Amino acid sequence: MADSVAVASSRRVRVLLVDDQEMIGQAVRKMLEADENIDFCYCQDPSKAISTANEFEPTVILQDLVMPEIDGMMLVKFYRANPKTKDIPLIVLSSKEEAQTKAQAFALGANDYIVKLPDELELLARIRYHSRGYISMLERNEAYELMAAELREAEEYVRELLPEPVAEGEITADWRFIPSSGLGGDAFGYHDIDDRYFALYLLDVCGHGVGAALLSISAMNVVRSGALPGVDFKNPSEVLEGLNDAFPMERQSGKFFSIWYGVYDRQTRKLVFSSGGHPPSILYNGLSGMSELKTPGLFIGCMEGMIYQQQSVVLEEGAVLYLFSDGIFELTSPDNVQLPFCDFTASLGRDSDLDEVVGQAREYQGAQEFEDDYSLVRLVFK
Amino acid sequence: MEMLETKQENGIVFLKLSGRLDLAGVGQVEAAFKSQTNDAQKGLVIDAAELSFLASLGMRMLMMGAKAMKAKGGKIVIVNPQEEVENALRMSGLDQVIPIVESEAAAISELG
Repeated sequence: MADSVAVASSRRVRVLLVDDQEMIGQAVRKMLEADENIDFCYCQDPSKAISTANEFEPTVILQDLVMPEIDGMMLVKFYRANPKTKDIPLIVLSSKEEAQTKAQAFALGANDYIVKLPDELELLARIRYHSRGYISMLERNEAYELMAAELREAEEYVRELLPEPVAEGEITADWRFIPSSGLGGDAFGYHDIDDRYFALYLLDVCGHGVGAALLSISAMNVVRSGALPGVDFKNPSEVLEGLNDAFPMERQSGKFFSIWYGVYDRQTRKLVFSSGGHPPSILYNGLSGMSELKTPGLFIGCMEGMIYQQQSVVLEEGAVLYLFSDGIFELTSPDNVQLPFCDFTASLGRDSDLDEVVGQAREYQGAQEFEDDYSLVRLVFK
Repeated sequence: MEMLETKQENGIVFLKLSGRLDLAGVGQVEAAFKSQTNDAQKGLVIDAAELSFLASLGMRMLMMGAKAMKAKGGKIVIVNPQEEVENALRMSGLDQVIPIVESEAAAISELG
């Protein structure tokens, strides 16, 4: 068993014994000596138990219950309250086989209970058993932290691709992007195709994680650089058809994405747009109130040879356009009620403050973190 | 998230989906759903009356199923979805490959 721990992990079994009786310390040391994979630390002074544990970093603690000056049960509580020892398995050593004492020890957070002095075989078996579980937990935590670090790196990369807000000029733009903890695969942008045409787009890859982010980055780079052979990037439906051909889900680990892509003509003030599997964009245009801009197209990459439609609208002076992903309105309240889409659009006014919109979403779901990426872009055409 | 097979008739498998088809829901039913799309020869009829939420991963599961059915000349048909689920299906364009109908009889008729 000890070998299996040593082989499966680079971590060693580390035992801390806290007991005021030196004789017990010597006896346990002798029992553990035979196993070269075990490091042993003996703490005779219970007042130094926590500091010794913090320094030694045991994989299991053997804690005596009856000691002068300090109650062993109290120490059990302290271990559980101390961040560095709160998860370390704790075996309580007692001279008595009492159900009530055992129950109290377990209630305070002990993991095991042994009447001392136990048989050497039994003690070693329990030490290895508890250490193995603790070492596995540490390794799981490390793997999780590594994965989280990779997600943060991917998130940073996505952020670097996003355009700067534009505060001055004929077209102003502002946005909020709040990635979900698992990174949801949203990306968006806007740029001048030339002096006359301005492109604006938002895409959302299905699923979460680095895989979704990789596809969103690839698709985003293609749109930003206009790198689809034979595709006129001033023609939204052609762009969607080109993307659909370039990113079939069979070659993207079964992933596909939705997109809203529009092109604004500064000369005619005409916005031409096309969407594939994406929520409508919301437009406030002149006195006509709010309208939803979308075309009936399937997700990008789902079916080869899809034909995408496009529509157009002439933007009046001061028109406001919101682009967003479904993460902004697919919200569930704490009492498990889904936010209706019409309630969301009704809350998005012509002059809404973006931070207030984010705040309303957080308030609705009763949580700060979003389950999916939160992307909201607001463009004003002066 | 629950998925129940209610019956099989003339190469059509009838399923009932209940709950939230999100990341966790898909994890619970995806393998069984895939197996049902393998079994169904002519079509898969999904009673969605008790499906309360459809996330993009749920749409992916349906899309994969629709593709598998299309490869053997069949279809998936969704019956009687709740308003927000229907909105999600229409918003995503999935209704172009997965018809939405109001009754089981209409679903059978849709499958020819």
